[in-house]
Amino acid sequence: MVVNEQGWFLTQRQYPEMALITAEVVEASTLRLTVPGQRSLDVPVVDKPAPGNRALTVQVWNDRCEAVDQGEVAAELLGDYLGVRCRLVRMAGDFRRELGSSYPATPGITVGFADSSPLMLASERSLDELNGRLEEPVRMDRFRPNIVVSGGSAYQEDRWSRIRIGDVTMRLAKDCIRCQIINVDQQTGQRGIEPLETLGAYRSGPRGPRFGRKVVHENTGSIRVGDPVEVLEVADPDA
Amino acid sequence: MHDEHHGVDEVLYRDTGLRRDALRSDTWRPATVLSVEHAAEDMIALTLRPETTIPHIPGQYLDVRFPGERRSRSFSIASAPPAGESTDAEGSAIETLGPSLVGSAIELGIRVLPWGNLTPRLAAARPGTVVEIRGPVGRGFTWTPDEPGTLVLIGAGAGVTPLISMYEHAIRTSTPQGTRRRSGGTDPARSVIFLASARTPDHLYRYARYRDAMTTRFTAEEPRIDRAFLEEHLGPFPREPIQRRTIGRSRAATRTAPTQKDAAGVTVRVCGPGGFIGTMVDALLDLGVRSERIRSEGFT
Repeated sequence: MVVNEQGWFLTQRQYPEMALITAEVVEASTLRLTVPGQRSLDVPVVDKPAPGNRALTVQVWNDRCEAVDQGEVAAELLGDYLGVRCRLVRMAGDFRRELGSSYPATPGITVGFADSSPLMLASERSLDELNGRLEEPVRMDRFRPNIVVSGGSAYQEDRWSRIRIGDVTMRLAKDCIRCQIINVDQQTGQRGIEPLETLGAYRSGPRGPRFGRKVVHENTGSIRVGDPVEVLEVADPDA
Repeated sequence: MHDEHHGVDEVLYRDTGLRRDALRSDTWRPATVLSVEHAAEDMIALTLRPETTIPHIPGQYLDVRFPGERRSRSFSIASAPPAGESTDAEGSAIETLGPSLVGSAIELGIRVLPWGNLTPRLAAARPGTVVEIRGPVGRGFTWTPDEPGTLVLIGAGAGVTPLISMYEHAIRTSTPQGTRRRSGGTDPARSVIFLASARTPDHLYRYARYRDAMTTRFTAEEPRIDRAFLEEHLGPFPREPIQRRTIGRSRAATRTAPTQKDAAGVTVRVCGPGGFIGTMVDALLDLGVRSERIRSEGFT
């Protein structure tokens, strides 16, 4: 996660050009960062603060988390690119960020620096339906899901409350409420007004425009591309 | 000579289609800063005159940037649509009382982030500064006079800015005789309940101007508005059990939840930080307000 000098998380909401930064894990202890116009930088992952230093306290939404600074070189690369002084941080190994009170069915599950849930699921049929309403279709990467399902009908996932994929059962805890990041073209880093404008017109619920579902795993295991989705429980989305 | 120049420009725009572009809400166009006023401890009221006005629907926002720059931010429109026009949810005029006002002033509520790039420069902008705007945008969080019932506005801190636009528009379109409709006939005079919270009065946008319109709660502790406060000012609604079905099993899970019948007839608009939205919507649903009567905008 990238934070500013005050320890607040920076995202594509404020810096849409972050879409053009790639981060790749190469070997267990190295992160390869690439920003446009620069050679890739291999950053050794720092697990513990440097001797004499303490862990940072950083803030993501309402959660204060303990984090470890990943060093000057990464900070300089990102700072030069974004035009703001910032640091790259990793969650401290012994820090637990528990899911908030809006996930009562899965106590004890922790999450990293994601907004709220460990996983997010979206469906290709839903994207097709949305794209049918847009002047210019958008790609699924606008929505940054972890799991994409194919087949079935548009927005079927609204009704799913528990599913199984491979070895893992998962709870679809709530709708994913979308923000301006979906308006950022992930190939160019430019922000427009779609698809949030159209989504807002026809997919708004009481909490905002909905696309995708927030998912919490109930156990750990393997899932693979091509695995069927088994729907275990459904719920009326208007209940 | 100035008029002559404008006449030539109009011909050029018509022939090249540039004027049409200027009327699209998805393209950038110039606007002039008219004033920057202190509106709260960390907020300013930025008043702009766009080169071309596209009347907004209360709840919408504008994207703003400095000319030639890529970085933009979105700011809620705090002013009501130009006097004399109101629009329905599709953007069509319900009633126009006078000629359309081109280039009419629009007020944006802006929270200034000291470590930011754009907002401090907007706060320091002098009248006459030219910026660029895009919009109005936002079709998921609007209010128009054809929405039924009492209008309930619930805001926290900077979140009151789009609600003020809704409030102003509700007041202007509601007369002692009721809301006028193009189709003829009137709706009963509308009531508006405006609930607002912040750390202190100094943290509430334009508090001095709107204090009589708002029912407020000021405290350093979160949540500033809770279910009890809502119940006190909105009242409870009837409750009914609902069922959740488990596929492949004979047992059904049941839980008690608010009825889908909303007896009192309210339209609710909530705005503030994301956590505030969650707390408020949970409480409203728990109190029995129908989900389709609630719309929220979370400030991210």
